[in-house]
Amino acid sequence: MRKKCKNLNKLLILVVLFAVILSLNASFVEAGGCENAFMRCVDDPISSISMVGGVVCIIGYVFCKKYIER
Amino acid sequence: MRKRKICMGVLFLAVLFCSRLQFILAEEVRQVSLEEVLSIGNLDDNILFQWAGVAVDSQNYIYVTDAMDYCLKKFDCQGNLQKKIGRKGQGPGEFLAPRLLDCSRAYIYVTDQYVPGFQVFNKDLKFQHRIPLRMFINDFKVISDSEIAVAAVTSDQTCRILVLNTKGEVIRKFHYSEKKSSLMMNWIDFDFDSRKNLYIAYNFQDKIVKFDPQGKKLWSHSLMKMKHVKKKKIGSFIVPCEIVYKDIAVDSTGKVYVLSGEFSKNPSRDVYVLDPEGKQKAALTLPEGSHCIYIDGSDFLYSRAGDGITLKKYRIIDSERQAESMNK
Repeated sequence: MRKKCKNLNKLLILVVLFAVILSLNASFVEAGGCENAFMRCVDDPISSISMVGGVVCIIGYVFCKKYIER
Repeated sequence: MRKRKICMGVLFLAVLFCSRLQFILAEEVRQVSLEEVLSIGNLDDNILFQWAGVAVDSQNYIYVTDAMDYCLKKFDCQGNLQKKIGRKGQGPGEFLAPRLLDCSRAYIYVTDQYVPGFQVFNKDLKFQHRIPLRMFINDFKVISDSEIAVAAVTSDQTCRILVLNTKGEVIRKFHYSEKKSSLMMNWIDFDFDSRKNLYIAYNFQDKIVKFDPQGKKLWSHSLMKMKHVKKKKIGSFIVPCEIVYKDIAVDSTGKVYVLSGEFSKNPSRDVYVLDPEGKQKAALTLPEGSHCIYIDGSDFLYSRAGDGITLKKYRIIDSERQAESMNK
């Protein structure tokens, strides 16, 4: 009976750990249109030379999130 | 066994009571309707291509930035195009990506996504001068002919609204949050009421905040009851992927209108109406998704339609407001 209880506890801990890992993964989602555009912007050597750091890419990203995505 | 049954019974009653209590305490949220009074631009007329920003002056002229036409346009209150200025470029009166705009009594201020600072035009859309700034602008509001409030994008992620004079010099600074947060998490849209109280809606946090003119925080509310938005690592950046609030606007009576992002029932269409104390009193749903809302001096609401080729103007029909005005 005691052994059974221990096994059940272990299983419970595993389930909780699995749920935690899943929820952590969920906070990083698949790329959408604006994410792809942002990636291209920060990777673009011409824009990274002419623009002030990634600020313009960031401004464009937020505008895209507001304008394009619903 | 009997004890257990009694405990279960008490628990059941407690749960039932709590749920009823919540129902009783929950205030009724009215549904406000909109009546379309003007529509500018459609697929056939080539008047608007992808409008980005809108502002209305005290004479009810409507000014619009058109990103795909690289220009600033002026319409009369019937929606007739009066004038337009601009072409692609970085010279005076030229744009690469015109975005935000606002007007004082005499001037129109316009931002460009790729060029920091403002271009200033008079009401005839004649270029006046440029206000050069070192920082890019996330949102701004003209306070008066001599003051502009700017939510600036800073590299150190500090949360500041700067009040600038017409030369672009900083007159005052206001920190709306003491916390330094990760990239974009402190991005905001903001507006002032007639008493100069400041209302802030965070783009990537479930937070609406009000400050008095002295900078004292009066309240902070979450409408979505959510804790975090999803993030994604892109290159060396970790960026938030879900937008919570898209815009905020205050009408002449002090009611606060908050345009929802992705978390509402009708994303980019639901607008929550709060009273000056921050309690949600009403809600309305735009016919089409919009990136922004604008409320003019006569309390007409402007929003996007047709993916940016149409600007709609609506009368807000609020039964409570009508009753208030009848009593007055």
